[in-house]
Amino acid sequence: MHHVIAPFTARALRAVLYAVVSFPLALLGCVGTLLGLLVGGLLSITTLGLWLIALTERGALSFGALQRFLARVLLGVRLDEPVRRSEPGAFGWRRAILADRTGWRAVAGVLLGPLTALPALLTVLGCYVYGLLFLLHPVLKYVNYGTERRPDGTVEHVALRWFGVNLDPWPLWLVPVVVGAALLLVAPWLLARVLWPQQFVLRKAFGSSDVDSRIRTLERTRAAAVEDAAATLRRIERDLHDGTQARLVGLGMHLTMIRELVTAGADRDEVLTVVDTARGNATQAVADLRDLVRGIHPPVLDQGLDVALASLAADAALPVEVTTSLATRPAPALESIAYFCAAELLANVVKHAHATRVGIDVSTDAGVLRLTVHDDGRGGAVLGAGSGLTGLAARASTVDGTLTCESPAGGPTVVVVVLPLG
Amino acid sequence: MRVVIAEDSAILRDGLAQLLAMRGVEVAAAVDNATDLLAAVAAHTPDAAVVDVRLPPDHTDEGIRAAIELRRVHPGLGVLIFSQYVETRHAARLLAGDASGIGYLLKERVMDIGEFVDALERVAAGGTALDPRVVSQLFGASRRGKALDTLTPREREVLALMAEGRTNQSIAATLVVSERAVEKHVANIFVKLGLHQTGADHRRVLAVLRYFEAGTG
Repeated sequence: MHHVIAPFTARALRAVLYAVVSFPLALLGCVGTLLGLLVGGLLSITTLGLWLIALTERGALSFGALQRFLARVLLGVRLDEPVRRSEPGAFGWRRAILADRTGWRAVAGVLLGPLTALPALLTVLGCYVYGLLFLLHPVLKYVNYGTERRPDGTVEHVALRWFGVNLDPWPLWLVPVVVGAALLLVAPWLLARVLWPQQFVLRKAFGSSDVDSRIRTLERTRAAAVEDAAATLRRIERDLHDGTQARLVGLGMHLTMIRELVTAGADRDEVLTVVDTARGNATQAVADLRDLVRGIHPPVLDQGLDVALASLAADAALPVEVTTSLATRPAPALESIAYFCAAELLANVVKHAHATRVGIDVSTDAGVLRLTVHDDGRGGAVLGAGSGLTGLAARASTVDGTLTCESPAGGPTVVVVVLPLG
Repeated sequence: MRVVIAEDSAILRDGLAQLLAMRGVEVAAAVDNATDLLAAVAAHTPDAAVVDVRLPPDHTDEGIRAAIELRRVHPGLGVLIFSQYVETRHAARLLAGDASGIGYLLKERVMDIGEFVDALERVAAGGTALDPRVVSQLFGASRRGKALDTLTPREREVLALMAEGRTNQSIAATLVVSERAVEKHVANIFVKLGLHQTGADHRRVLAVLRYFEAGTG
């Protein structure tokens, strides 16, 4: 059943629409661009020619935007917008366009357009149109036929004749029906195949170049790294302000109070009460500082990731099993990211997962550091806006790492962080 | 003297209330957020409010905003900002209108409870009390101020102490000079800043304001 409706699913029909629309569009773009370049070239002895060529290039870029839009809406293929040069002023605009490879790539794409769009159109014509005609032959033969006059004066209606054989009578009409069905069934598959080279050209001509994409990724991850560092500093500042600093001021207040009490010759017990409070504050300030230092850089991490993770596991509120297989010692930055990911993931498990056991595996192989945190909890963790996992993924991405999360409702949850050893 | 305290850290709020009580200051209310502060001031009509800069919910400048609102609703109320940092912009915002009855002290000043209560009383009485660190930071920022550039180093020192809310007598004691010498410096400052005779106290406040404008401009 699934195969039978495959040629007529919304997805397949969108591809058909794309194939039908894109060829005339490509033809129009190609003719326009050719005309622009030709006239611009002829006029290039005057300054007008350059303007016309620049305008044509700009048109090709807009055509690319339209193509990206069509590909996204009808095929679900997302293409990054290319990065364009820009200079101020009208002449700057012309200079930037003429010197920009992006524009020329678009021109090449537009010129090649009809060629790359043709196979898809032919596929639609061949498979869908003829497929339907053949499939419906038993019905259509009564409507759509040619009239042949025989030498003996009789008249015959012939709807379909292949290799001199009339396929109208039973059971011969089964042949076109079977052929039509076969054509329709193969249509979506074939269409997807012939669209592939077209998409390739689309990507190369109108998409973002590999270098641009890489630059964009680096810009994004760098912004994430800066944001992460700023957030860390804000957190440290807040912790110091609300914690240690407040406790030290409080300690000072209590010392002042003790001084006041002693000066006034107050009762011994009254003084001792304030002394105890002050001592409590001092103890808490030291503990706060220790936690804070551990949050910045756990001293135990200096002894290696395995030791740090073991100590993390020992402090956890759940039984945690740590397995490590580190062939080489990763760079300190990677160790730090892996450690904080493990710490945060572990905290998440304790807080949200209702798990009874947690496993942390860390290994180095094939040039990557792989950290896996898995639990037997209730699952349902998602990577998305507002999720702590997103912050960890952003942190991993600063070193070209990735974070993946598999957490079906009901569990178990497996989070994998992969960091290239670089 | 009756005061209201707004401070979100329980340790500091309780400690400050206890300390002030020991010195005979009546703490009418001690709250931990700006909304309660406004309500408490309306309910108890204190002589002064001690307000932390960072209060819930965002811990940014809720205290300053509450202080500005307090001054608008209760013009006679003294407001002493109580902060762990010198935030020049905040100090200048608060002093932009009228510098009388305003104080800005770092939290550790409370360890000298005598001076702290003095400052609080000064603010409650319509004077000013600025932390020496606030003053020195504004001085640093005011290097660009044109009028202030004409002051001699000694006159700057005197102006800085004026900004802290000190009297000539107290300034003389701090700088180890005679009170007459201080009066001469003060008069020079008024002339150089273009402040003409309309009553010495008012000009003092104006000089301090000029000082802040330079610090922020």
